[in-house]
Amino acid sequence: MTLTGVVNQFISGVTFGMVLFLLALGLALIFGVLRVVNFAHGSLYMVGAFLGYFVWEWLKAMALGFWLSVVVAGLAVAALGLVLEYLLRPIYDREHSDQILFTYGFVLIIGDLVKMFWGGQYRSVPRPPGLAGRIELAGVVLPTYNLLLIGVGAATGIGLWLLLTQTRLGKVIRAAVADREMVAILGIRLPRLFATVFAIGAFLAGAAGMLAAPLGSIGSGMDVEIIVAVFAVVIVGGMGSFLGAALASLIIGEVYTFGILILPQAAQVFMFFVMVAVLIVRPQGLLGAVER
Amino acid sequence: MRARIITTVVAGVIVLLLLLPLAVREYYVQLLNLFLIGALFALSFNLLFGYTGLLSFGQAAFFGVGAYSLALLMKKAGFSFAAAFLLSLPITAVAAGAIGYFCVRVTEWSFSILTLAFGQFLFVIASKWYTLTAGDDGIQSVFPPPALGSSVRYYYFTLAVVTAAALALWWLVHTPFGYTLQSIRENARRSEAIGINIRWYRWLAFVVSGGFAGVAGCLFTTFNWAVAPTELEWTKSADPVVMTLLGGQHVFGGPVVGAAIFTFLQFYLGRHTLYWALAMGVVILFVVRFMRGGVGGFFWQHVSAHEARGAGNAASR
Amino acid sequence: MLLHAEDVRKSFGAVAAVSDVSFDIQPGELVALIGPNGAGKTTLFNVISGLLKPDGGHVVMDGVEITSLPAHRIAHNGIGLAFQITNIFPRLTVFQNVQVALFSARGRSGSVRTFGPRALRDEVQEILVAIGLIEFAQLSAGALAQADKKRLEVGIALAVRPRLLLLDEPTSGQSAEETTLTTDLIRRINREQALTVLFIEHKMGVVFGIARRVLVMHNGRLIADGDPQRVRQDEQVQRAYLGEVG
Repeated sequence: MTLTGVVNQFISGVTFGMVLFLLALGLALIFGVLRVVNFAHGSLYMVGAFLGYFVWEWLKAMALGFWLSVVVAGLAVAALGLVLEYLLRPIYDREHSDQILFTYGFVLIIGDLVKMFWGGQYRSVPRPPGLAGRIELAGVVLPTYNLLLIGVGAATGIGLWLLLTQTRLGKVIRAAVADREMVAILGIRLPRLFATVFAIGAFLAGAAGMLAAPLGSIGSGMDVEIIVAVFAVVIVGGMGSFLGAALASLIIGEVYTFGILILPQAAQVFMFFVMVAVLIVRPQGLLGAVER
Repeated sequence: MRARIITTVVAGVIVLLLLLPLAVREYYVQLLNLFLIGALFALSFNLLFGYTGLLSFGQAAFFGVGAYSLALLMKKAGFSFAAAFLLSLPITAVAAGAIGYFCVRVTEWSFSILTLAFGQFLFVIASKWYTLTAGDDGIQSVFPPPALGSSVRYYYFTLAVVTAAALALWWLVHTPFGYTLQSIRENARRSEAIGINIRWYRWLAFVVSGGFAGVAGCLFTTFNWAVAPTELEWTKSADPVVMTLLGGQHVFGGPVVGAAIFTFLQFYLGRHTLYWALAMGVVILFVVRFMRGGVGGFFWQHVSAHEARGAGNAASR
Repeated sequence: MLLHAEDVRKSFGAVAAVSDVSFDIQPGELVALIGPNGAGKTTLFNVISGLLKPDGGHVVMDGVEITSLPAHRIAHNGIGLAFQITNIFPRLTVFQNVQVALFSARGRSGSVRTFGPRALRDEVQEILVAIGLIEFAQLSAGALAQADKKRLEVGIALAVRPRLLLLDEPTSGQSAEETTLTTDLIRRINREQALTVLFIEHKMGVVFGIARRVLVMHNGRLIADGDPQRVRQDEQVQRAYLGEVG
């Protein structure tokens, strides 16, 4: 395989990893504050992809139509996220198994709703005009869109980090992750915080869905595929570690992308092996805290 | 008192199941057959969930391994039905043992996710490993032996196997092993502190549960005369979850009740809608939110309350 | 020597919960472990029973190094722990709570041959009578009153047939009358069953009533170890307690 080929694969891996990173961030945010693992995160991603795709069909004529559809997808999924959060409220105090089952129910429902509205067959989403080409970087030819996505992903990551460290909302979020009761005592209205955080996580998932759509194809079944990958990231990186999520996203992204070269039909299995290997050697994830 | 009510109900159900096929059309016999298979599948799931506290979204993997093992052994390796059926059990147990080894290393959320992932993994193998499993086409023409050739006869065979399996499971949960599992469910930390190796017992529960799911899978293959990768899809893993929730996970018979409700719901609604997953999702949301403990739990609570009132009146011992 | 603890250390992040704690417990002793809140007493118990791994030091039980053994093995080495926050099996009956511990003590947790509900009935009832919960045998443990749950805690720890019993605040939440019953129970099992007991307590009446030896912890360290009267008059101990109130 040529150098260009290898670098291209590598970049693809980073791109996919970036998508996973955005999803893992949203998941970690929701888990950190609400203490609920959102099984339906992959479903939100899928809705973002489908919604974005159809909005873009509509906006095709506009310049920046693609980016608009990304934002619309994100906002729409954020709204969906608010609905889910509202439905989840009575379940916050229940046992974990109830919470798992509830979000699992969401996955089933959303999956079928997507099929109902848009049909389940796979479609491919073309890259936005102007970004469909390639550019040359240090002698290697790389697809423009991938590089842009990496940039967008990194910018989002930094933006989120700034949000968490520099803004009041961010400080409240971090406080809530550390001690929820204390935050409530200080007068922060938890329901509103929860809704906001869930919406942010959902926005990230929906936007990621549309951003990732041109990389491959969209169709029913992408919800489960992606959620397994995101969970692989979380397991490998350790829940609760920003850096762990970043590192793991990169690893899983690369493993999957290079895995496609070996077993095109079943690249997932490599992702799988990594996850399993980490679980044996270090069950708390590469950078996670020990469970005790 | 409670024991007597239960025994009567169970006896009644068994008599009903024995006599019904003689009175109804073949179509309904097949429906009952499907119900029995679902009941065993759900009971196996509940050993893990209701009794050990482990929520697995990947039980279809073992259902599928059992189903495919039977099909492959019969069609590709030429084994007889009986031999293939018996061999499928250790094959499924080994699969459950291997997968369980990893899954019991993590808890709660991670466990559920990992079982889902393994389920998907096996689904991918079944769909894509064409040379072994004939891919999406599945394996066709897997017929039961002539002795079980008719719907009615196969039904009685299923009834016998499922009843035996259910009895075995019932026995199991009333042994020290069963109580140990329950103590792990109730309070894993405390169990550890009294000397129980929770990882080991969780693994055992996983293997037994997977094994029984495999038996259900085998029964399905020769009932359906074919097996396809859809039997391993993650939505199939939702079936025993819904059945158990509907019927109640805290009562031994709950999954059976749930399987009955589910099978007949599927029959009546399935004809009107393609969107079965949607319906199941809504059912899950509703039951988890409003009907914790399911139908079986509701019934059990009433019987217990009745009994407690009676015990309150009696002198101690 | 039954229990030997040497330079035990355990930190959580920057907080040193237990620092260089060393002591020995002889068979048959009845020892109280006291100290202001946050002194590290429960953490020490968790380390001894294996629920937490220490950052340093050794714990030796009857000649066997148990420091790095998993908790369930340590239980089989003869250490029984009753938790501070009641930690029972809520949906099992009181009877089953004790029964499950007995099965474990006998190594029969994995048995599939016995049909369980009445197994080991006599032994279970013996323990239930000792802790005064016999009338509640068929009740769900979760339905018990808090003080009764505490007694069940002790019962479960006893059922493991330990040689060293660790009791974390056995009388917390109990009325004066119940406290007396509990202290009688502790004294009885220590004497009649020759069970070595190490208990954490905040009620000084209990401590000075039954303990024959007192260990005092403060800020993770052991600051006193000896005869109850001497400990009571120890300057460091007084400062530790008074300092906390102020």
